[in-house]
Amino acid sequence: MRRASIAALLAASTAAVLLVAGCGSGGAGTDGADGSGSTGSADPGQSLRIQAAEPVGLDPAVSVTQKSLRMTELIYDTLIDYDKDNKLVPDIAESWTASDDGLSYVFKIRSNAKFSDGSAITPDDVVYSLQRAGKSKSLSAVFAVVKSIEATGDAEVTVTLSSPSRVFLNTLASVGQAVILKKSAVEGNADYFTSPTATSGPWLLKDYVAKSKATLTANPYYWNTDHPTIKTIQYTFNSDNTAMATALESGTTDLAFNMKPADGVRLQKSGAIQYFLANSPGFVSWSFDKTKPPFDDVKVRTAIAYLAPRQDRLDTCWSGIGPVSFSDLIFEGQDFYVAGDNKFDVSKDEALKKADELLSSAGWVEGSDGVRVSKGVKGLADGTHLAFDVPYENTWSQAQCNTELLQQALLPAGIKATPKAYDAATFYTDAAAGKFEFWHGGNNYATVDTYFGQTYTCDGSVNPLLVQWCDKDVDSLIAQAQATSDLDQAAKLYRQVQDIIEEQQPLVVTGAQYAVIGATTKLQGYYPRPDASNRALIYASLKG
Amino acid sequence: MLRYIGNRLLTVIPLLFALTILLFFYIHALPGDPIAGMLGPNATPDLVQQIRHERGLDRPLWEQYWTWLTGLVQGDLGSSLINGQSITGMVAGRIPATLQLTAASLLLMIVIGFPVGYLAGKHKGGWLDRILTPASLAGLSLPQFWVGTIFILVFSVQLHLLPSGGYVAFTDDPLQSLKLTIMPAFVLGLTLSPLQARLVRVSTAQLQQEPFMAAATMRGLHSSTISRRYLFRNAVLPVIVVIGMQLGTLIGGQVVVEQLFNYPGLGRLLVEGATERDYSVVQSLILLVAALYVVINLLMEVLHALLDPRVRL
Repeated sequence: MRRASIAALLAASTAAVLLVAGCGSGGAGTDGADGSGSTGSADPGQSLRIQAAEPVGLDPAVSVTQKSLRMTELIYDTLIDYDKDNKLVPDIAESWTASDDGLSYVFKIRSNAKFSDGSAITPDDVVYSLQRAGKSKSLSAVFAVVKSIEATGDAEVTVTLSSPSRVFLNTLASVGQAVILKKSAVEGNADYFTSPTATSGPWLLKDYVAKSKATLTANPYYWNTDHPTIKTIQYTFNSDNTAMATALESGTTDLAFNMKPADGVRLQKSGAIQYFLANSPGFVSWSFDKTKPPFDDVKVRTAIAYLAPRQDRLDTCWSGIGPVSFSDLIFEGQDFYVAGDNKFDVSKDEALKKADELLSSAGWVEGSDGVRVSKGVKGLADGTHLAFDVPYENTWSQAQCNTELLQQALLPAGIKATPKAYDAATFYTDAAAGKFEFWHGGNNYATVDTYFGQTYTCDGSVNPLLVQWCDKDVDSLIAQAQATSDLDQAAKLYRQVQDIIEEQQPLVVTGAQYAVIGATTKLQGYYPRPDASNRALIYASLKG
Repeated sequence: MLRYIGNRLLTVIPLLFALTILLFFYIHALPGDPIAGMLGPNATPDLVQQIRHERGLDRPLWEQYWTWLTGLVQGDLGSSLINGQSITGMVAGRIPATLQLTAASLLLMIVIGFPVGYLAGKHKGGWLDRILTPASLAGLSLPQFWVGTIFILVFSVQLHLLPSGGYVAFTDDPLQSLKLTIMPAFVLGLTLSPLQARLVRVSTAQLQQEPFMAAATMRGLHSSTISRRYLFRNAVLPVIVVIGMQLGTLIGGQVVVEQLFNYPGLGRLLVEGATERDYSVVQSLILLVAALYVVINLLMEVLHALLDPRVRL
């Protein structure tokens, strides 16, 4: 009797817990967020499961991280978009014309362009959205060239620029950022971006459970009636690359953004998955504090540039995936690529010889313990060792590998570098605050123009984090490259920038990291874009 | 009993208040800016400043503390610094998953640990008893991440029998929900059951030496009746003790298993909050888990007293 009671109590407790668990399934979700109420009876169609890191907010004005962009680009459309070959194509604007002086652009809005609640996308919505993007802290710099944005017809918007700009159209195609919003929906709800309704993209946000999952369903009113084929996207938020690889391998997910290169190569070889590479402009680098010795001396920086592992870095730490740099900052296959002299493409013996010459002439002589010491270096007492810590982000496994390789590469030249795992949450703040002497870094961008503008100009937002260097000639060259409509001329100007950086070595770029997007072999029609966007999911489908 | 419970609850209030002060100022003393970390290298300083202002991080610390404390009193845990979502909503969204995993792992702990311990203690020195000691030592020593990884490799990657991770509510899809819970629950159950088995074994073996057992035998009761009425009933008490010990830990501390199986429970939320420097989430969750721990232990004390009259003497 007593045993029966205990058993009954256990069973009842379990049932109660499961009931509570079930009742709470909505969590912080926002069922029926489309406002149309029409998706409930829609054909469920194909469903895609994605594992990716959680977005940092869904407000396009603050969507600067890849995590956010990968979702905002799916729920919001832009006026224009990129195609597979990275050429600008119509999106919500079915066409556009530019004036001869390049100062005025007229955009014609599609007649069937609608938000997910079925309401039409009007010129007022477009004007509001672009003005909002222009005022945002993330896009205000690139919108600075815009003089006015006006509705000039029932389906027409005219943008006037203060000076010609080749990158203006690219700015309008910034996925997840220069997006088209419904003015009344945004202004009518202070919490709109917590669970956006009436959105313009191919999918709408059906539910969102913070730090857990989200579901997107196809926008029933999307202007492109042939797409998307995938009707439901189930997001599981996950930042653990290893768990993502396991999920792909076991068939628990269909697409993982991003994977570790080694996992991608291993699983593709086994036939378990396919992977795609987004050849985004960007870099992997060694940065210096150039305000004091030893790295205030360009000779020391150049010596490091000769010694830094380049092809070894790529093969050992990135499984051979991505580009290697022997001085170039733009790589083959990317816009504006012009080959340089590959100054640092030398044998290891040659690199050691060059480094020895440079370091000796900079006043760093061989020490008794094998580590070089200063002799007549300005600002340092004689006998100071050429030794320093090298912090790297503790969540970036390739950075650890790369830093350990560097340690081994510098030692034969008498330089003692000590790798230090550093808290990723504070890494870039501390780098900008000048807490590091020498550090590992890297970043990616949607376009070469954005890359150079944000990184190598004096006011670029990435400059204080990874470059900490200002050269007015470089600023001028980048401004000219971004103003000219002559692409060849722009490529030549960017080449000049690269030559200056090769000479000055404000940072040592050894290559770049391409995003590795892992997917089930059933995924068809998907392609990665140079801006690392997943917008091509619009054209994708699952076979079988 | 009611006065006892009331007194215990009254002592909890100053404890939790002191904890709010300690938590808030300790967490805010940690280095790192959550907003700069969240936005990464592509953020402009203006954008970082704008978000810091929106989240109230540019206000004096005491003012931020007061806002948090007054919110707590009203049942509002605050908002996440990272995504601006309500922490109360986030916690509410995690509790079902945590409860499901906790219940399933405790159930497995009891189903595995109790019969093994009971039989080993009842037949002390027998073959099961001789196996139990090394087996339970092995069970206690195996790290959860290792057991979990082996489970994933075998049942997900090789056999494709179970999904490698995730969570679906039981009412949404009962079968999928159970599939997703089985592996993490087994990992927890397997690592918790050795302690349970050993406690039950010792208790059962000791009970057999008690005078009331000898008295029951001398009264001519059948051995099965003695086992059922006297031995089994008293052997249940260590189960309550272990549940009490483990419940608080399980609710907030299943971090490794939740991380391994991508299971969205409270422990994982805490780790994510700490990694992202989401002060609001970390301080509110630790406070919540501490309060839960106190309440659960109190409940277990009451339950123990109800089951064992000697405790009330």
